[in-house]
Amino acid sequence: VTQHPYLNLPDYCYWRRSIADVGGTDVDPVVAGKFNITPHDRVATAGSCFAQHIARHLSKGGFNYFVTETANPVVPPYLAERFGYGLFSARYGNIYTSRQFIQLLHRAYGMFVPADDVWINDEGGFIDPFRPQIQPAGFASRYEYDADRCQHFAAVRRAVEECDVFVFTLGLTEGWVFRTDGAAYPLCPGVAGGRFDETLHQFLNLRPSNVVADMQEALRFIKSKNNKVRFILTVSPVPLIATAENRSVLVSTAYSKSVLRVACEELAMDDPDVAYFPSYEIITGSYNRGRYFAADLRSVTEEGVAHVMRLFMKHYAKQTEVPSPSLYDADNEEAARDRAAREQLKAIENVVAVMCDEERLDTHR
Amino acid sequence: MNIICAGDSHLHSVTTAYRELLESGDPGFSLTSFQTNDPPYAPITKIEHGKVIVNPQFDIDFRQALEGKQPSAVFLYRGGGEVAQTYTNGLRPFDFCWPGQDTGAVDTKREIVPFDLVFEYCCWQVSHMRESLQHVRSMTTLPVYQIALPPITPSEDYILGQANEARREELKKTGIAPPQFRSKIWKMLVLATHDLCAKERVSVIEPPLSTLDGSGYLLQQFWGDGIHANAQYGMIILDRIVEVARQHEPGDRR
Repeated sequence: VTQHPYLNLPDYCYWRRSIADVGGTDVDPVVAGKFNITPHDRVATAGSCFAQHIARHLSKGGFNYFVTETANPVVPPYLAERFGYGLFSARYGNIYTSRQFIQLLHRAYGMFVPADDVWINDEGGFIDPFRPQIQPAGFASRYEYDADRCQHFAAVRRAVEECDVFVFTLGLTEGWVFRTDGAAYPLCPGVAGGRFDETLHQFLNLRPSNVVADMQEALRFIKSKNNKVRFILTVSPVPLIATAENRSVLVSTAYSKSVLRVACEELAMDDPDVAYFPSYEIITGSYNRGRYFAADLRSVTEEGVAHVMRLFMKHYAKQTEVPSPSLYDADNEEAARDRAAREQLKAIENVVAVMCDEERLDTHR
Repeated sequence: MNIICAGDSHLHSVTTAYRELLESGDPGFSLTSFQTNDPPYAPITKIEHGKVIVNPQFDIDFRQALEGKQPSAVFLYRGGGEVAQTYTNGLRPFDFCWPGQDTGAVDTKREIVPFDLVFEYCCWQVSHMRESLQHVRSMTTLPVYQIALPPITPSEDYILGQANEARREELKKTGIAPPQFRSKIWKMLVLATHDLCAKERVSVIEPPLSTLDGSGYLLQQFWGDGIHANAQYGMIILDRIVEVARQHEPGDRR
């Protein structure tokens, strides 16, 4: 037999051996974690809606999920969650683009003050353009708005400076910015607050070089504040709910995810402290025949999330089992009722709900 | 005229006032009270098989009273623990800003919690009354009134002086919250009570303005044990109950 580079490769390098011939839930494209996360390591999260799944499982799976902006202890957990506490390490809501991420860091350290500072809704509520759905009816006064944001930025700084591992999920390349200073919104103005004005707001579809540059700057910035930090990057497998490009949303999704995936590769390739975790591949891979998407072909099922998190635990926490969700809840009657309700919902559609700003884009028809 | 009132610890001020009236002669009406924080009516609600159940003894006795006494209206003086819970500074002292309020009234050294979240918290705090309100509402077509909690006692020294040793130690651990804060929370709880009662078709009787000082605190003459108001306050509430009950009396029974 002629010698060639493919002869003695491990099984995971071959499609048939590691994908086609392996049962769906046994497919493991991670192969090996780049580093290990100990139970003591503080793990911070940020990113798109899919990152909420990661945060949820981290906190319930034995990791030291680092939340620096918790609701006051008098607030019951269900209420705290409704007000966006604990969905991520700080109450920043969904961060869909790399541009939003770097700007959040700069804003938290007083290095960037966007001109479009606040929106006021029809009821007089004060809306944060950069986390428009975090406060259900908006903040009740300008004073409260400013005070809350001040606390929020302090929480962001603490997450940056004190975490050991930062998990960031890249979601989109498309977004809207304020023309004069380039401030990037998570949602187009007018969708969940504010008013759209084409003279003020501009569509932006990030190119691979933009995403890489933004993320390089963001990771460098965090490192400059916290030199022990390591990063895990993921790409959200959730397709775009709508595209502002004049083309099929399917084509835009492929572009967006491809760019983000390439950017992750660029960032992780030469840096031992930056790992790429293939949740995108686990969910979208053809091996599962679309099983990890719900009926809307967009929401990720609990089964899919469980597959992702099982591999995350296996390769980063050196665990093989993710605790069953039923073990997560406090053992009381209310929790039991909640569990029963959740199971009922699960039977209807096995999808996990997350607070997804993007969904507001498709509520008009 | 027969009056029926069910309530928790704040009801004591009213029943004490009524006893004093009885001792000094015929008050001209009878008060049947149901102390829902004491046996046999406590706990007033409990969870069984995932459902909230109203105390069966209360159900029987209250129905009997409604049938036997034929009142013109029903009065409730439920709740109160929610205010007591905010008497201390808690693990993370907080404050909040009423929309339109002078921001000087906000303690900037404390964590600022959004107004809406504090309101939701207060709604959650008073929500324990929902099932009992619904239950009473389902028993009768008579007008139902919930008496709002009395305003707060501002003096920290007085509160500590009135507390028993165990309570005093507990209060000292994190310190008593400033009166401005306690008063704001009290107002918020009254708002939340209005919100809950409106949904259950129950009216709210507010504390009479004559019991408040210029800062909205309970006047010293009505201070009780630091959390509850005294019988003098109970007497004013009782007068108000009688006044409302008379408004609902059929003409031939006045």
